[in-house]
Amino acid sequence: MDEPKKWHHGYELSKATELASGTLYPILMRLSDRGFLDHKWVETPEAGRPARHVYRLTAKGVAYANEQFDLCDEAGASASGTVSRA
Amino acid sequence: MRLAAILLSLADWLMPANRKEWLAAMRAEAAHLSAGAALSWAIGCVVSAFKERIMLRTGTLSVSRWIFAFEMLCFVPITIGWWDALAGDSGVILLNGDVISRYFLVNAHSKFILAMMIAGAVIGVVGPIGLLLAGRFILTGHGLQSRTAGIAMIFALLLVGAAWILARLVWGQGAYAASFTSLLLLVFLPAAVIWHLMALARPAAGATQGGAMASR
Repeated sequence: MDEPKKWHHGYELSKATELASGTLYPILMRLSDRGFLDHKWVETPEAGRPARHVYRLTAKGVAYANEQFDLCDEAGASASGTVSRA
Repeated sequence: MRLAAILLSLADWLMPANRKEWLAAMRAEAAHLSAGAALSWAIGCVVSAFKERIMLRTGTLSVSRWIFAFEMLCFVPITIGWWDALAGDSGVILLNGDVISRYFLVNAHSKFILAMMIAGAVIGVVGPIGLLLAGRFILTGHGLQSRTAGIAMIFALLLVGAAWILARLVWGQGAYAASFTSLLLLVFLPAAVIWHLMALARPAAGATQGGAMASR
């Protein structure tokens, strides 16, 4: 989300999200199905290694993620408000 | 690397045709990893492929609450069995030391039957719990949130089923020996409905996955 235009490969996303590949890829598939994720193949400079599939959120995906973050922030603010009022 | 390659081939076999590009993506990623990381990555490929295969067969698994009422009936036989094992004519609460030593500690088969009676009274509680959970789903739309509880119940049922199959193999037909009907009604159908209740508890796809992916 810090660099929404940057492409990331699967292992990088797995490390960043701390999700195992068996959890991450079904999510990537669903996000792609819903138009939230772009993906493409890129050649790798390492000789003898296959091209890698890379991913980034689409504009729709970024908007949706921001919407979700806002909802989380609101929920967090109202929860802390409740606590402070109590 | 050889084991990883075998697992990737298994994943390739499992993955539905419309998702093959994603498997190719996972395979390509594995080729960029160290042997250790590639192995755990390959296990994940199998898990992903299995999930996609299940989704292909079952869709979203969502079902009308009222149609689920029919699924709820799958807990009735095991609930009756549980009550019988607990408080029926030969239920465990009627057992005492004398009866146990006279009838149930005679040989391996009688000890097995005693163990199965106790297991029926303990594990059979899945039946009434399942009825409550299914009733809650019908009334409130909430599935089984606790994966631990769900997996424990399914595992317990499968364990009992395995014991019945073993009894059938060792002693042939008789008390607690597996039959198709007993396995279907008392093990597989309740286990399947518990699994369904767990699936119904998952949030709708897209509602939270965007948040899971995007960390800031």
